[in-house]
Amino acid sequence: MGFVGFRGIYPFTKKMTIGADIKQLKPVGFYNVPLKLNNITESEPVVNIGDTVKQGTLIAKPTGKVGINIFSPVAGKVLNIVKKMTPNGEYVKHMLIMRNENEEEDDFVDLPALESMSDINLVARLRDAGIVDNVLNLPSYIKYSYMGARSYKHLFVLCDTTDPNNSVNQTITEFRMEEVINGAKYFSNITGVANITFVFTDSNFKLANKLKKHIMESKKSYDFKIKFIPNKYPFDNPYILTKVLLRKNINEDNSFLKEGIAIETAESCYNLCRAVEFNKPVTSKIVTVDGTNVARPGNYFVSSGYSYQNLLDEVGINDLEIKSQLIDGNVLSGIAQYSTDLCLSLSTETILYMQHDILTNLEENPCISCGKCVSVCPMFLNPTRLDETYINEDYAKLDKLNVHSCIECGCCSYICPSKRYLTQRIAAGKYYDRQRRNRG
Amino acid sequence: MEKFVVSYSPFARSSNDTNKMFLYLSTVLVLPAVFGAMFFGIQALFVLLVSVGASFISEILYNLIIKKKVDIKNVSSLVTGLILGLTMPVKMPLYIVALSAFVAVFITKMAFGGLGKNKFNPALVGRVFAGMFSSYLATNLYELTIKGEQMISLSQGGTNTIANLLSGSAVGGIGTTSVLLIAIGLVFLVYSDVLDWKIPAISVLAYLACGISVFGVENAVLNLCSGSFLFVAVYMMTDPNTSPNSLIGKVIYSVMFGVLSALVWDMGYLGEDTIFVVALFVNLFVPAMDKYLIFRHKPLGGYRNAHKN
Repeated sequence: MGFVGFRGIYPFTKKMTIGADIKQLKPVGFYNVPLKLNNITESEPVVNIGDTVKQGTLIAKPTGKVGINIFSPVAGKVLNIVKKMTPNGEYVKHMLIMRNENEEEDDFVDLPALESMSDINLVARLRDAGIVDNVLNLPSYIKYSYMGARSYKHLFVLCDTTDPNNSVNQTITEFRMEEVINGAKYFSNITGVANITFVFTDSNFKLANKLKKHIMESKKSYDFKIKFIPNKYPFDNPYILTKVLLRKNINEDNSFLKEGIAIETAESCYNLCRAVEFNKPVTSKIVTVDGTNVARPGNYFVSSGYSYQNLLDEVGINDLEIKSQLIDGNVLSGIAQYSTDLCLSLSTETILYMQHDILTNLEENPCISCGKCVSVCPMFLNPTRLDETYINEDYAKLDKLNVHSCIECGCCSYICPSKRYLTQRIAAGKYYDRQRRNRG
Repeated sequence: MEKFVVSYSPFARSSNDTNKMFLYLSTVLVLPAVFGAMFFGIQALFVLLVSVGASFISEILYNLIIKKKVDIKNVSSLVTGLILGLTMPVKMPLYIVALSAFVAVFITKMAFGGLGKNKFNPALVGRVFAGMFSSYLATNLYELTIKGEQMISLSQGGTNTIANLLSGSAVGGIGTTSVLLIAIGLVFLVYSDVLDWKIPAISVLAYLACGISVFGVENAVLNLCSGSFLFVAVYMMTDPNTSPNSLIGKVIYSVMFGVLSALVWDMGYLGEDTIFVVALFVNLFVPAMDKYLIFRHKPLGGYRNAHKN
């Protein structure tokens, strides 16, 4: 791994969510479906208030070229379309759908069957089924719209995460292995990369062997290999993954497309497989629900539009007496929420409901230049220097120190013995530098 | 449902703590202090007490002068005082010890802006300051008073053997003579993630490599174990603030320290103070190293050189 092997931090949490199958949640009366996902432009509703929809009915379409189809998660009636806040803090349109009390037989609408398995058809299916890439936060089909070039050389399927909480990909690989393998094959058809690389962390040899065995037993013409990355957070970040596996730097002169790298998650493979073989559009997402206050932590199939309150009621809460935090995302880089009046979207990966860690709001001590933050920064930045520069309000200097490369993983703040607010300052520095540049 | 605590990520912090680090360090340093008191007598305890006391008083004094809040929880002065006291020869007059502690804490640390802002290791500067007087004292005072007693300074021509050095019954500073105690402290501190093992390890290797090739095996090992080199390498060179942040910086810094000490120890005329002067000299390079040796890699990500636009 070279010097990269020293970066990042080893997991400090024990994942309670591994090793159990994905659970279903009870359907509720109302679904408030957000019409915008993280970093993707908002889609326009195509149904009117008062219309009846079925599970799988297209309810919103992208307006421009980049966007995502959104499907109704339940059969019912559209009650309202209002602006509402997302966990990210944006105000976006939400469609309120009331579920039918009486279940009917033809509650489902499927996509039309595919004519052939050609790459163009498969990319169209990625777009039509509304499959979203949660690694790069964009609709999956965008990456494969440059079909003429066909320049892909590597296809990585992330079957594991180094995230301290998220265990979606592990679980889906373990319990929906057949679908993941088939989906990976479809991605292989799309990219033209024959040799699929399944990526695991080096703590998950068992699962990798299981996958290997499964492919050996079932398929005959299936070209694949398995690669391991260190089990250090945040090594599943696409930039670092590329650095570790291929020793290539992705920066402004060098894009993923230029290097011919396609990174997919096991979940995308699962979704594509369902869209191709069963013609199912994506209406639900697998979400890891974890934290000390959650009674039944695990991975759940959650329909988009399911509210946080319903989710917490379903998974059970304990210890209401203590101060607690509700977090969208993982423990090191998530966003704290102040209310449960929020809705899950297809971008949600992890929900944490946990005891407030008293260490996070201790008074900070002066930096003693121990260099621990430098030794953990996965993007090769110098957090302590950025911190100092931010305090001096020298935002132009921040830019020179590559502050915009920061992925806000939280490693530096986590490791700092002086409890300095490094990630916080760097994030604020990025904001102020952007403002400064916009001003001109 | 009650309200949630809203804060910015990360929502977890490691249990590393600056104050905890200082407490661990001072706990470990009690071991050589007790040993020094047993071996050198009650005078050693006085030296340590004066050193620690003067350090604390200097810090409080500075805070009072600039009207800053006096932080009692901050125990970095305790560590500075202990380290300074442990490197002193036992017969050092107490007023010089107090003066060195003042130079260490008041001038080297507080006047530069307090903990974390100092450019030089406070204890090192304090010890070099004391060294200015010790050679004067050695030539004029000591020869008359301590005949027949334990030698206190190598600059007076004392000799050590390996067995003496391992057990600590050798000439040298109060806490710097026993190689075993230093090794025990190092293992404990590295295990509890207080010290960086790389600096002592590379320094010793560099010292041995240079020493063996120039002076032969026996001399090199003897020189290594005598005269504070190990104590300085373990407790002073690893001070996080005055050692480089990056790995490459640490390697250069340690190799410089090891090689220079090995050469100057035999060739120079400074006696026991050699190591401290060399360490202070190497310390000079750290700010430049922190500034220029840090970007070993091109940072990853898509926004490199965005400032040009």
